[in-house]
Amino acid sequence: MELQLGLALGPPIHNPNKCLDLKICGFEPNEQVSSTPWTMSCVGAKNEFHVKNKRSSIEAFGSVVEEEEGQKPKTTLPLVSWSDQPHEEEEDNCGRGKICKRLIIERNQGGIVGWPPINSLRQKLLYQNRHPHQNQHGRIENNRTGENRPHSRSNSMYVKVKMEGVAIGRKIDLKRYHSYQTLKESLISMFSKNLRSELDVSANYTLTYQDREGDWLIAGDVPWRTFINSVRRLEILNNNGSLYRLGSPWFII
Amino acid sequence: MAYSFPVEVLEHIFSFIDSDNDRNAVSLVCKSWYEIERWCRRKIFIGNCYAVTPRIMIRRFPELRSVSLKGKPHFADFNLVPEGWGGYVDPWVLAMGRAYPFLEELRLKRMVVSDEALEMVSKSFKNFKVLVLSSCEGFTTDGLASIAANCRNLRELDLRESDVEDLGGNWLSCFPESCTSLVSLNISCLGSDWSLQSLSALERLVGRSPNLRRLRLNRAVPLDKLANLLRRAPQLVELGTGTFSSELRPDVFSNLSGAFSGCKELKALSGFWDAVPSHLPAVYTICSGLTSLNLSDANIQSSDLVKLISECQNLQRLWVFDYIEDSGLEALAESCKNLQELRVFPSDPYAMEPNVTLTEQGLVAVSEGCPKLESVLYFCRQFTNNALFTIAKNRPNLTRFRLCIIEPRTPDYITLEPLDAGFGAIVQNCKELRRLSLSGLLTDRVFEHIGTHAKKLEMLSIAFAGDSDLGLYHVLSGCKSLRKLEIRDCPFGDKALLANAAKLETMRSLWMSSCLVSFEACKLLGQKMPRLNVEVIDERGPPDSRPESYPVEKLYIYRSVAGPRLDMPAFVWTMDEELALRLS
Repeated sequence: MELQLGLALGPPIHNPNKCLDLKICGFEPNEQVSSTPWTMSCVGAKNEFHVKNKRSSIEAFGSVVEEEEGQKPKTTLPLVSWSDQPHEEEEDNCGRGKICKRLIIERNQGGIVGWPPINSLRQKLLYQNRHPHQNQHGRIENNRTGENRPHSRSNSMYVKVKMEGVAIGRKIDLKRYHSYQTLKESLISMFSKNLRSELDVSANYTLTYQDREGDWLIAGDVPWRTFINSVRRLEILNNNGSLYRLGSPWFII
Repeated sequence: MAYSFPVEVLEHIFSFIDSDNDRNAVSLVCKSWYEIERWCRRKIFIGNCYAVTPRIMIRRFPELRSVSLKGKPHFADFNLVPEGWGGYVDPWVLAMGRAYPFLEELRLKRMVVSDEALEMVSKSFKNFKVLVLSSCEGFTTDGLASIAANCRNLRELDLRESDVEDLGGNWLSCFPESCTSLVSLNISCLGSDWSLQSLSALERLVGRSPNLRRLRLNRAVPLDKLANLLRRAPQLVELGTGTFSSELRPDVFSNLSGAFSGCKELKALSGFWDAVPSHLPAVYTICSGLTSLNLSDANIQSSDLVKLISECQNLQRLWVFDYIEDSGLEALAESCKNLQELRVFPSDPYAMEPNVTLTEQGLVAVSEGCPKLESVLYFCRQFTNNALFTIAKNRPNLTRFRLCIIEPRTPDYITLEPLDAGFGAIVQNCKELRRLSLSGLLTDRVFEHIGTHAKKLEMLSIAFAGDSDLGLYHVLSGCKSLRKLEIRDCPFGDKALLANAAKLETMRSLWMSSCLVSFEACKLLGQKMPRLNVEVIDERGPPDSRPESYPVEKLYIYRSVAGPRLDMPAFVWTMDEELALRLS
């Protein structure tokens, strides 16, 4: 299997079928793409590699412009071509000249190593904001005994978070937070796929928690320290449901 | 002429000459001036630690008091330089420990520093005053403890953005009670878990440092401790807060507010981790005096940002997340007419869809409203040539322009054209431009513009751009002042590089990764240019295990009088003549 690697998006793609080529080649969106496209093609293209002259070597790597006289730059294939409406025909979108979005493959903290150019300290901060359930070294900590006793002396304090209507619950490390605001913001990102719209979360959802005595309370009413000491698990309730609302909405954005 | 002045007189005159360039010029006048100058030079800046050896430095400048060194290439910040590449400070510290007993200042950037080196620093230099470790790594809090314990006259300890391993312990308490000389302490990069003992050691240290002007705390310092610290250091000029959130108790808030209003000389604020908007008014009393505000660690949203910024009429520098949005930047352009530097960082760079409304409009607004704007770093998701034209027209005084459109190769979103013309306008109008970073869809055209117009450009960063060698050729042949060139994922190959080999000796360094430079060309360059170190960085194995015309993974070329270095890891090959002969 070889990958056609593109160097430049170029003008709008003339041949819509090229968008489909990559799928035919068996390129799966989940596939790990190596950090350097050249490495991939070096390893994969050994069979068709010609060691005749420099121009050939450039050819083997796909779509570099050849310095032949009068030749216009070839239009090159994008790395992956994905429309913003994945269910529509690829062909239509490319044909309309719409910008085909790149599929950024999630790997570590993004698709391409070192891009966008953000330094490591800042990356760490962003990563911590996006993955609050992983500890500082990026390993997911399994708090096996945490079901009924989330509060521990360790550096982490995992509690279960459920969202009403969502089958799969999550776990969150409360030691990573120092205030309701940051906790709620993380929960928004964590469940962003399940929120109807992130714009009006305050009106639509309420964060509740079960305390030590088994009672369900609205999060935000007691000081943070008290909350941390008594919380056992969290649940995000949908305000449009039939559940009894105990008080004010929880999100103030 | 030179002989008619006594040496002492010349020395005295030279002592007024501070800048490195001027000093270098002085040393070239004649032999005796060279001699006099080298004996009285006190400060040196070495932009690439492998360009020269400690021995050469010591031999020429026997009486230095201040040494600055830079190690890894800039792209190391983005994980492009493999672990173990180099940049070790230990040999330098070893040599300086013997040669410069009176060394006072050591400033390191992107170097690997061991605890042993720190201990050696703390014990070798009796009058050591300033330690700045910028984006360094390899040391722990134990190393810091040696510095704290042994440097009796320490004035500055600045760990900006370094990666420090926190071994617990309480290194701050290692500062002796007699140490009262601190002027600047930056520990903002340290970890988030601190004991009460550490906090109280910090409080005591701050309390006994009457000259403390710059204090940057780390996230572990809770908000309710901040007021105490401020009351002990009302003379602060720069403050980086710790975490800026806590339970909203009225007494905490008023205490904090009072403490801030006592700091009448505060000019710069940073920190604000986890900032809760309701706490921000605590700083309002000092906002009008602020010239620098760094909110790039704070998840504050646009409306709260605007409220805060509108209090800071005298702001010269603002670093902020893209939460500020276009609307916030428009407000900034209205209120902060003295703004010189703007940096807008992405809050969620890996998201497919933009999470905020930050577009080219925001930057255009600031370029219109802020006549003194000269330095820009801007991350966003869309741009147009027209916006770049407007910015170039509004701000011909730009000296640093770094635009990062998050998605590689994004064209002008309205015309779908490359952004060549837009960046061309920037280099053409902004004649004083010294630093430029490109992004978006770019062809060889943009490099033609750059080569033609960017005559004062010193540093250029290129990614996912260009069509052919011609692009690189334009840059290397046209940019007269170019010192640092860093390129990734561009179709630049052998031709341009070899044709401009001589240019490389006039530059500090060239970095190329994921380009099309063949191993063969590297060998040739290394052989023909003895004063260049051509390093091939390739983690796939020895270059001779592949055909010579295969592109190398990464290439780092820098001028050097030190010859090839001796501390290379397995994945780095230098192309000196001997090695080239062995491999061919």
